[in-house]
Amino acid sequence: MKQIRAIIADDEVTLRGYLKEKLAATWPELTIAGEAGDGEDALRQIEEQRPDVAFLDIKMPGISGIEVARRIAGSCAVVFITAHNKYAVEAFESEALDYVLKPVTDERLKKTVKRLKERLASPRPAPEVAAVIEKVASALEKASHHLQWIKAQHKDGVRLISVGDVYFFRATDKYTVVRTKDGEHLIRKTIKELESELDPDQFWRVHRAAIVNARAIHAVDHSLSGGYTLKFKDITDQLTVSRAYGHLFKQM
Amino acid sequence: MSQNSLPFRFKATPLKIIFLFIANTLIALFIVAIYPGSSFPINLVYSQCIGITIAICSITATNYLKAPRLSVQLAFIAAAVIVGAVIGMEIGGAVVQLIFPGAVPTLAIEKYAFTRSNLVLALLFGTVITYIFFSIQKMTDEKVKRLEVERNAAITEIKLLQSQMEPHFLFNTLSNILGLIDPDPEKAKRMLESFTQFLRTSLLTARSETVALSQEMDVVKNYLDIFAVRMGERLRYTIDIPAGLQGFRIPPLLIQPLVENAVKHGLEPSISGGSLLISGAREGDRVRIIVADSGLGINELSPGSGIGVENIKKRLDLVYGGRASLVFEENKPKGLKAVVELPYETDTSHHS
Repeated sequence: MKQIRAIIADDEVTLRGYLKEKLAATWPELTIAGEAGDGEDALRQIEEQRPDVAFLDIKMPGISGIEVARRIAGSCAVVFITAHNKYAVEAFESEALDYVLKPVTDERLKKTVKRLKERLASPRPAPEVAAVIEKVASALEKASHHLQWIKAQHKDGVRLISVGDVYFFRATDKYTVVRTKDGEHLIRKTIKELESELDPDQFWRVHRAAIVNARAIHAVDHSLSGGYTLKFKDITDQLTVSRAYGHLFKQM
Repeated sequence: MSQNSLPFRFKATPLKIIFLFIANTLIALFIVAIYPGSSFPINLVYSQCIGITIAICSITATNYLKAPRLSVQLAFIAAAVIVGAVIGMEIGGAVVQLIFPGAVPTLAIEKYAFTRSNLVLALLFGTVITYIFFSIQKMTDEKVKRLEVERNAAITEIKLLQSQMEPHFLFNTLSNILGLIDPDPEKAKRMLESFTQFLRTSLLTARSETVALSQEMDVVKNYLDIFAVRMGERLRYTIDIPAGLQGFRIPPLLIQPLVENAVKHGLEPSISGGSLLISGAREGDRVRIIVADSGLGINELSPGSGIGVENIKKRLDLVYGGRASLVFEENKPKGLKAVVELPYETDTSHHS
């Protein structure tokens, strides 16, 4: 009978040791071919060792467990290790993927081992692995594609401004002014660049030279000429909406 | 009190309006009783007119005039009572003249005496009734405010505790302790001790309005000791708070979430780990507390500031008004620096 080999990847050495110990008790025939402390290390070992099973901690420094699974795409069975609560991971329990919760319990591990044995015994490869991994990734990795932080030169350092703290961006001759509660900051990014990088649901272009944080608007004043003026909480600055963008405020 | 108290306002409710009519009627009855021979209907018209006018004047004064202090508002109310009494008497006279022609003295000398005695009565009763309404309103306001403060405190406490009981942290720590019991019972014991201490101190401090900076640093130290076991060589930390600031009072769990942030987003995801420096310094009337890590730092697309950080900003606003701040800067040569600035108050009377 072919020997079953596994690698364990977790950045915490104690947790690797604990899982190894538990596996030795529930699955004595299993050989631990390698241990990895981060994602890159895991990838390298999977490449070299060609294991049948990889136990991957989801949260690892460098490359995450999910990313490792994505890259090895189906070359071995994957079991995710996670401290996430039950409901967050239940979604991706399927034929193709398995998981164990930290702290690892004998009962749960036995169930996982049984399923792994069945899967490894069957000649056909597990279906839809890639699709399931994508599902897991979208459930757990909340990476944003929109600008979240603005870097502004401040005295001799670089200030990091959360976009949620910005009232509005306004273009001047050379720079763009970032208005927050504690004052104005100057950045080189243009209004046009900002418009394409910020989340369009929250940040609205209201003028050729201005973008406003819709969540920071406190009041919208109608002027007699049919234009709009935006007011904000805690600051006295006002922003005029140019005619071309008036439709944004028609409903208000 | 560090929170601004709301300006006092008379609010007209249906119940109070009914009370006002009853009080006016009672005054008329009282006058008829002590001045035998005076007419109840005429007195009733007068007292209703005067009472209603005083009420309108004092509601207007407290709702539409801007007064910075309660003493100024009390002066407004007193003025409203006088103005209301005078106007109310004039209106009352006109109404009585209309309904009971000839009932009001018309000779100048008689009118003067009549007006003077009526004014004294109007001011006397006006003051008493206004004072009663004022006390009732003040009591209701204070009760509403107290309930709101209690509610805010409860919400803050729940949010703080929720953030301490973050499942990832909890279960990872427990897994480590379980994993250490057999191979290294001594280390398991130390970790369980740190964990117990961390839970105890954060549960205790979450309930207080303020804590000494040294207490907050104890929470931080216990938290970091747990991570020092988990991350081993990858985490080094230094806490540097000068002796003069150890007793400085801050809202509880103000710094710990920043440390958690630095570990979770800066150091733990970094393969080589890094170091953490928590320092405090007083500059004039400002106290600056800095949490600086040498981890991954933030790029423009890094996840935005989380609930923990937003919560800190809200609490700073609530407790200090605009006099405190939290900003993030790039740390040199790498990593993130969180800077909290608080006013240094020698007066700590509002701290419990």
